[in-house]
Amino acid sequence: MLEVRGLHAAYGEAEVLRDVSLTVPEGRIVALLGPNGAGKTTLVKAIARLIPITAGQVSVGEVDLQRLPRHRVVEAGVAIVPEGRRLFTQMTVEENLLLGAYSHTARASLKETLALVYARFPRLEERANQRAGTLSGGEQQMLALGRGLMATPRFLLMDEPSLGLSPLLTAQMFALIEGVTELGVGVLLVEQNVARTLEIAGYGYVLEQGRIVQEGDREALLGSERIREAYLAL
Amino acid sequence: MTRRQLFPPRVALGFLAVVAVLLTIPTLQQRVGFPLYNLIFLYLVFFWITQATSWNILSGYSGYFSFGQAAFYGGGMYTTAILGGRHGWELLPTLPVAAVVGGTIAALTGLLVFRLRKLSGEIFALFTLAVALGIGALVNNWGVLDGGRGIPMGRLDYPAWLGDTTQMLYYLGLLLALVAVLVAYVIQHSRFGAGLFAIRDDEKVAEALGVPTFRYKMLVFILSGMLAATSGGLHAMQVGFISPDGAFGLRIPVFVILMSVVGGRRHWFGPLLGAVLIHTVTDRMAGAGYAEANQIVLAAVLIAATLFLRQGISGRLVERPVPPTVTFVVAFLLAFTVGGQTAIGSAAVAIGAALVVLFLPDRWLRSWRRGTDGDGPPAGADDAAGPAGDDEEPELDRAQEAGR
Repeated sequence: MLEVRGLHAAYGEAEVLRDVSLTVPEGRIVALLGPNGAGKTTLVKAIARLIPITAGQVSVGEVDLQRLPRHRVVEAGVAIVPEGRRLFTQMTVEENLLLGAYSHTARASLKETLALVYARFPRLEERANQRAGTLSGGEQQMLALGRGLMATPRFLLMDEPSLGLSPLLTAQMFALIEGVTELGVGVLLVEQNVARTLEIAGYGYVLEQGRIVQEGDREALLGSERIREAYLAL
Repeated sequence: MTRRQLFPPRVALGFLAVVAVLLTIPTLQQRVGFPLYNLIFLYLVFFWITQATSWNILSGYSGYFSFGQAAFYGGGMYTTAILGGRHGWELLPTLPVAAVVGGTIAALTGLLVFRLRKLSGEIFALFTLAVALGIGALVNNWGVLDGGRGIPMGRLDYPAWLGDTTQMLYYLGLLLALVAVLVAYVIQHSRFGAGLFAIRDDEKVAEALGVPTFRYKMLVFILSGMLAATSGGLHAMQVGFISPDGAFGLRIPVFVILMSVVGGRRHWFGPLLGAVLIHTVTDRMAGAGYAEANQIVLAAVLIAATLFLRQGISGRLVERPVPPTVTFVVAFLLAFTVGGQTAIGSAAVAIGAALVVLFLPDRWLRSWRRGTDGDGPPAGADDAAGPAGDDEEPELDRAQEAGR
């Protein structure tokens, strides 16, 4: 269980996240929805400790992530697939994947994980020795997801995986994300594509102006006036 | 990160062969009697290889671009000058002290820039420059260290089996260059190196993947400082008279950057190649009385390298190693025997010829480079076509070009 409790974060004086609490169970997809500028990316970064928080707690099981050195967060089981992919574009596909398994815990099972990732994404194996920067957008997103899986995470934070992808590729990507849960990995999926996201996420939170304004399971969210008007344009 | 052997037989043999040949040169020089200048020339090549490589494991590998090489180089040089030149220490014991001084300067600077204030990019570069200039100013104004008079080295004792001063410099210079290159090689092929490369390309992501970024930056900074300072300490013997301007000025940082950028910063071989190339060119131009023109040539080389060679010469050499190497050997032998050039002159000619061969088939290579060197397709550009839309494009282009 990945748990966020009472989290606050600020850029300088400006408070970006206020008292955010959410839970991601293993093997489930939880959606984090909300308009541009609501603080979704900030929340993901705060959970992964890429930015400092001002109050609150983030924990995986018994482990308090805030007490760990930043590079040990991944060993606690939290990996991030950042917004805009942020691949090592000058390195090959395989080098990117190997770096994904950098932590000590992931290294122990490196070969098995690599075989597993290649089995799920044969495209990446075909391009193993090609530079990551030369991949198409869809392949790059696939590689970003593969790199995240290489860390053998229990929880994957995915920030806007559909960014810049065509509708067809977005559908493929979402199918891949759904496949990730078969491995027992819990996914926190940040998306603006609400309709698509609620097809694969069983539960969701709506973040507006740094606060969770609504949460519920798929049916509740799809039935809510706020979601229908603001995000689904129904 | 590697699953291969660290030193494959081919690489190990290569290192051993080069070192074995270089070790025989002083003896050969005495027996055959070729000019002593060759030894001095080679010592300077070793010196630049050490300096450039030490800069590169920090700035090339981790991406933290330093203008502060002189802080380590000068720190080491002054350590040997004060202990040896002023207090009569033997040479060899001063070198480990120089290494400690260099490592300490690096550690203190590192704590300041990596922990207290997280500096990167141009601010990091400026800060390292300020550290070097600051230490230089301190040395220049504080009588305990120097006070602006300079320190004559005099004759420092060292074990007799190292030969005369030139031979001693040669052997120790070779040893330091070998250590520096091996350190760079081992780092590049280790988990540590993979972590540094990740830091260079995206430090935040590297940390999220589990790279202990602070520890790695400190470690490589200290290693770099120790290597550069030891080499600076030894170089005090070559320079003879140590002054703050010479030790902490801009010459060293500018040259190591030039050598590494031209040679290539993502590969252990890059700074080595750049050092050999730049020093040979500089030496021949000065020898021919064109020391000023040399600066223009070097500037042109740097401009060409930054504009057209993002991976440096080593990047291109890795892609096509054979023709330039063969050209180098043939041209060297021709110039030396038929052309009646000196060994260094022949080397300069051979380097020129090899460079021409390296860059000759540009039109043939251009389309391939376009396929692999860019930062990838603009986001979304290829997506409508789907992943299948750009199948094997680079290879296709190359095949078409080759077929013409």
